[in-house]
Amino acid sequence: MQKLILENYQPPGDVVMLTAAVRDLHRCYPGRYLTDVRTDCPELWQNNPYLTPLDAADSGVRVLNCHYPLIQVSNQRPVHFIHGFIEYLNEQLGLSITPTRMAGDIHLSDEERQQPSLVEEITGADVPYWIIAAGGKFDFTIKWWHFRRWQAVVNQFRDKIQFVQVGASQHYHPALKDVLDLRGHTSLRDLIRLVHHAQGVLCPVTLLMHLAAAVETTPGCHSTRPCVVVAGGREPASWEAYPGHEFIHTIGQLPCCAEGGCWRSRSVPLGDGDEKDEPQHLCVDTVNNLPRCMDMITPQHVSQAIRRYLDPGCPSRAERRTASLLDRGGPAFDRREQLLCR
Amino acid sequence: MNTTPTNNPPGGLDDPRLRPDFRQEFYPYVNGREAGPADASEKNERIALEFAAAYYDLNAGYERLLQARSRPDSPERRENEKKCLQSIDAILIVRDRLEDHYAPFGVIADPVVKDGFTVNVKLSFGNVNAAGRRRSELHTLTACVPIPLPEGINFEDLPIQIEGPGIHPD
Repeated sequence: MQKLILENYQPPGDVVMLTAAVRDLHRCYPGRYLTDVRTDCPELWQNNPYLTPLDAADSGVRVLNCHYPLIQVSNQRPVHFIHGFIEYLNEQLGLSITPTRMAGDIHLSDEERQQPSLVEEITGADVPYWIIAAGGKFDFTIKWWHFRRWQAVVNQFRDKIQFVQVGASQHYHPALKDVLDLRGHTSLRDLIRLVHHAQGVLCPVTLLMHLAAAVETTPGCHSTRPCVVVAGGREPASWEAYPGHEFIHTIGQLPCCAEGGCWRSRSVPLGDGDEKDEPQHLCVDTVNNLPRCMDMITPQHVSQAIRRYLDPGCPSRAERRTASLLDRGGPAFDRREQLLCR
Repeated sequence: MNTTPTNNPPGGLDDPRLRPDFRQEFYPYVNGREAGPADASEKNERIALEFAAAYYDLNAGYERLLQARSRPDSPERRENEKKCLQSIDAILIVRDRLEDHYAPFGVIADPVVKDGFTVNVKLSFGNVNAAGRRRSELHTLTACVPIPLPEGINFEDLPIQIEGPGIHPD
């Protein structure tokens, strides 16, 4: 068997895409490769059945620094991010890997599946919730939607949806009101668990969007987790959007993204010395310093997208417990017990 | 199309500390410290002063409201209370405009409120991290590695030019 170490030190959203490539490499070529990885986010690889510890110093090991040059033609070719690393591996290894699932490959342990959600641990109640990320990193501020708009969406679902706000403390995540605030309080693994139990996800184009697709849902829920993405015109929907997600974009609606994503970095220069402040990386059409494509997306658009998901719903843990007891007890299951479960 | 983004504030800074009726107790700290001088020129310091001024005005307006409410009920009192609330509302609009204006630059201003008064404004900026270091700056580690010169060779005789702190070849 050939031994491969796949390296990538990009942010975790990109690494989620690498997990898909590793899965599909093994599914398409079973028993042919031993693989290990080197990334900045080992938590994304926990419980991954496709990894074997390998030593880069071993002469039989090939170390492959993985990229996704396919992104350069994402405005022209009908390709998704999921194809990015796969095509690179195909080129480098002379293979014909094809995607086997339109999502990354994140694995939970049995223990993690059985644990209550972080929200239940904090509140003591099995509250259904959506996760919201109302910001992002400083390198691509063009992805940010205005915090007041996120707040407006939260306000529209007051008493209907419990939102849980997440975000890394070193990134831009302004506090929202009437949410459970977990900003700066979740490790990557915590976030994965949080997504596992979440009824839905609301975010810009970010790691959370990839996790919404990649992390399994809880038993009794649809396998596709609701996710509303406020995307604008930076990236082509064909490259980023997952099946079952509401990907709100403006591709084709503005001159600057008429034929694809603009792939620019920042709305306005931050003055932090980063090259992304240079004119060629800046948004060319802003409204009050917000990219016009993001300005065009209103809280009403986002709320409508969320509403479309709400009817099917996802049973709470208590309801799932009830369902499980009902399965065991059959028709004779006592109504009182059913109520007690709730 | 707007290709020249601006970070000019919505209005000029009216530093309350320069007003004759300034009351120190209403002027909040910024990140736990005294705000910079009124003539500060550094961009983030100016932003901090703008938020401090907005929260000063809110504090002063809230104090006026408390005083109005402390009086016995009467039509005058109710009218005065209404005016105070309208004044606070106008200041909140100014504060919101500041927040809106600076949000795309990554500025977050979280007030720390005690008994209804803002005592501190926790500010974070898009261009620097919590330690005040520009976000794009690489971390620098410095190590001193003494390299003895070969016997009989003077530093000045070396056919190389070395620059650095503490090195003065001339």
